[in-house]
Amino acid sequence: MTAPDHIVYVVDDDPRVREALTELLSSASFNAVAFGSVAEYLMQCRPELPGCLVLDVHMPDINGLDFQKQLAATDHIPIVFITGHGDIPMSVRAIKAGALDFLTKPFGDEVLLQAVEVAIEQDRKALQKRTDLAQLRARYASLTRRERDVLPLIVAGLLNKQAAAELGISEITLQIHRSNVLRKMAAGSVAELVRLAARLDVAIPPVQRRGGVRR
Amino acid sequence: MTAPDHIVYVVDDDPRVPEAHMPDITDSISKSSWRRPVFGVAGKSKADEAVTESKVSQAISEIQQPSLVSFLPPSPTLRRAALAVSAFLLVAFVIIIPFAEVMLPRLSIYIPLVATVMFLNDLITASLLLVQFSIARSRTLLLLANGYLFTALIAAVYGLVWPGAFHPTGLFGAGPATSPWLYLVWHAGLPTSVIVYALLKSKEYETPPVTRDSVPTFIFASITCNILIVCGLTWFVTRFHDVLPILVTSVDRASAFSTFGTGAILIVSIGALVLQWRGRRRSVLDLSLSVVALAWLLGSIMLTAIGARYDVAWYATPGFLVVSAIPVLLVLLSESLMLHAQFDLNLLLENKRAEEQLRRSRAYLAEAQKVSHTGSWAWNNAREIVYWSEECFRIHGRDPAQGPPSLEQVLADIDPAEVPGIAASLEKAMREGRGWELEYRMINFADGPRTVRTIAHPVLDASGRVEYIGTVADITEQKRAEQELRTSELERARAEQALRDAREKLAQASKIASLAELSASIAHEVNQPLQAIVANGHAGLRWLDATPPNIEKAIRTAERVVRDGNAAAEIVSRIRALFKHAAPAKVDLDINKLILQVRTLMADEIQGNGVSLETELGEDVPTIRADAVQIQQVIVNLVRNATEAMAGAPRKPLLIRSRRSGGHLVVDVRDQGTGLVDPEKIFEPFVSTKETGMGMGLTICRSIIEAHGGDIRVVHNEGPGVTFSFSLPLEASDAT
Repeated sequence: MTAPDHIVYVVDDDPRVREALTELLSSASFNAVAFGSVAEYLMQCRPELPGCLVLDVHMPDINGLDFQKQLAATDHIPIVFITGHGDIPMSVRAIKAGALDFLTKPFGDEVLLQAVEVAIEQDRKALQKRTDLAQLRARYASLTRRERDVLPLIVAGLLNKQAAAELGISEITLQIHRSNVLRKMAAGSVAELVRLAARLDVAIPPVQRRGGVRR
Repeated sequence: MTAPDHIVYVVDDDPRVPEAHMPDITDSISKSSWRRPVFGVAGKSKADEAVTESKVSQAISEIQQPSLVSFLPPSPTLRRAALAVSAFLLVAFVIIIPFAEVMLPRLSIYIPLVATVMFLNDLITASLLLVQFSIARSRTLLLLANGYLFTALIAAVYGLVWPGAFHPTGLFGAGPATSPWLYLVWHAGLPTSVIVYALLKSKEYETPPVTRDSVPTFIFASITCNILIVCGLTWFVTRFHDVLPILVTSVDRASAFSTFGTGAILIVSIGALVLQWRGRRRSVLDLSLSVVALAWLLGSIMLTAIGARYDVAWYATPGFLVVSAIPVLLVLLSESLMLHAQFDLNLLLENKRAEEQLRRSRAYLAEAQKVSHTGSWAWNNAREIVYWSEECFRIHGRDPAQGPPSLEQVLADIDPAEVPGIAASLEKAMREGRGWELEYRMINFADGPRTVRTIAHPVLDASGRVEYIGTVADITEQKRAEQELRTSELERARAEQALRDAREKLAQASKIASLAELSASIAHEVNQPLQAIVANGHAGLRWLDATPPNIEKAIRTAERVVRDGNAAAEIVSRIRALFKHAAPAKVDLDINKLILQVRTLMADEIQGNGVSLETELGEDVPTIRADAVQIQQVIVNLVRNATEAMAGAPRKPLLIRSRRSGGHLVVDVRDQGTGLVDPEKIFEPFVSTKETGMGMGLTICRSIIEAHGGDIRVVHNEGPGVTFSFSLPLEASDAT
């Protein structure tokens, strides 16, 4: 067996359910780990893998919905709620707070497996996004102060001459900065740099284009 | 200066100090030079009042002791005056002696004149001494008074029997020996009494004064005895004048007053003087008596110098007597004047003091009455209010300027509704001569009615008639406090009752909730193994479906399915056992009461769904034997279902009806909701028309009703909705 590319956490206070769900997930080739309480789950050191949490609403230590609320501000893996007896308000509350699904026991295998599948895929994407962004931030951090001044001007679409005038430097110096920026940001073109800048949320100054540009 | 509104007592042993403020009264006192505290009245700052207060009381106690001439030491001035008189007498004596035998013109009226003066003088002196005796009750004073009285009477007789005055040989048949013998008695009498006085005086402080009651007796006896003695003597010396030894040898010429007579007079005079001068504890009286004794002695010596009647010595001798008699009279007169002034002063001070005390105790009383809201009053036997304190006026809201009200006016103050009762009680108490304790209300006050308690008791006045003395106390505040206490007690009891009700309601509510709770808990219990079974089943299928099939794992899952299936069956049988053993606890149950209870309990829930609830309770419904809690749960469940069914269709009434049908009691719950698709199956387990329903409620309802030997069913209404009806047998069957 190769190293798993995902992980599913099952948290339920009933050992039979825990065991059965783990078995079901295993039979469907999911990598599942089970815990008897939220506390045990939190103590577990979790690898940076796309994952999913299958959580019983009625836990002895904390209500699942309350736990979800506590996690709201963090980059937590998607939650699939399961419950012995749920009602509509409860499920609405869970979904609104970002739960991926709300399953009422007893549920069939397809329902759960599909939900877990979706959750992992979603988390995978989110993880990728997080990783990319982190990488991009690292690149941006490697820019010098002058290069960080130059970047918004390029993104704003100024010509080299205009940008140089804006910063009060020579056009040649600006060109050197510009090529450094593109290289460091791993942008193949100015268009790509604009996209990266948008993801980084770099502030673009409203620069007035001088006359003579539109000739 | 206007009339002072306060008084200051100035206490100082230096007479000048108060003198400056009160010349009128202190003048006479200071002139007499008595060394005693003197009081002045003047307008002065009030601050001194307290300081002098204690001295004042000290001084007043001193004043109250009898302080008479006989007890007071003479002042230096008086001593000097005594010395001056003595010196004058001696000088006069020395001047006269050389001319003793010079003959002067015959003045036959002289002796009667002297006798008259002496009589009056001594009589007045005796009277004053008797008055002093009556005050001080001193035996020595009585003695002295007797001496003077005797002398006065003898002098009178002497004047009468003087030959040639009223009769050539004297009245009463006097002989030549009569007047000399009287003269001897006269002149020896007073010095003798002075001697006895001086001797007794030393024992004065050891003998108690005569009792107050016996004073008149003593005075009367003294006067009587003196008169009798003098009469006896007079009779004796006139009747037996020829038998008595001749004291004066020659009536007209020779001065040969016998040696015996002169000697006797000289001896007593000298004795008196010596004893007087020697006497200790010298008083003003003693001093004046000394002067008297001296004058008497000089007169006696002068007697020996008489050569013949109508010579200088003859004229001078009575002169000394007259002079000697005057000091005592003067002292006594000034004494009585002084007493009078002192009495006035004391009276004034006493009055002021008493007035002040009265004013003060009145102020204290008024303050105490004000503080305690208690006034006092008195009625005389004519039922007139004779005293009505300031606080009474305040309590009754009357004007003090109008004086004490009449009984009718007092009754008019009282709440008219209470007047007859109060009047009757008063009449009864007065008729029986008892006191009373009554409470009455007075209305017509700006700050609300007042409650007053009056307590009175009868007393006998001086003439033995019944009077009433009593109090009125404003107990409005007290009553109010009592009322508030009662009210708060009541409120507390009410709050406690409310709390009890709430608790009861809560208990009821939890009972009501138990059905839903129970079904939820059953669902949870059952769902857990079911979930495990389903998951394991699916897992097993997957293991078998895999290529190659994982038989080992499939077997493991199949084993788990069997295990969990048994667990689920176990749970179900446990729940069934739970219901089976819950035998109804039957009590006498009034179904109508129960329905009303449910209506109260569920009022909020029903109104919250916009449903109105109507009840139609049969009057002929008897009580049945049933488990109140279980039947209540059934009704609650039916009502809740009906309410939820009607939630979308408001403003329609939900009806609960109780009625009697044959041997059964029937309860209908009619809703106007959406109705049921399959009424037959609704009582089956897990059949529910509700999104979140467990399908257990009606099942449990049916099991409860059936356990009571009854029946539950549902029918469609003619209009919208359905009616659930359950019937219970009237005949108690305790079978479960």
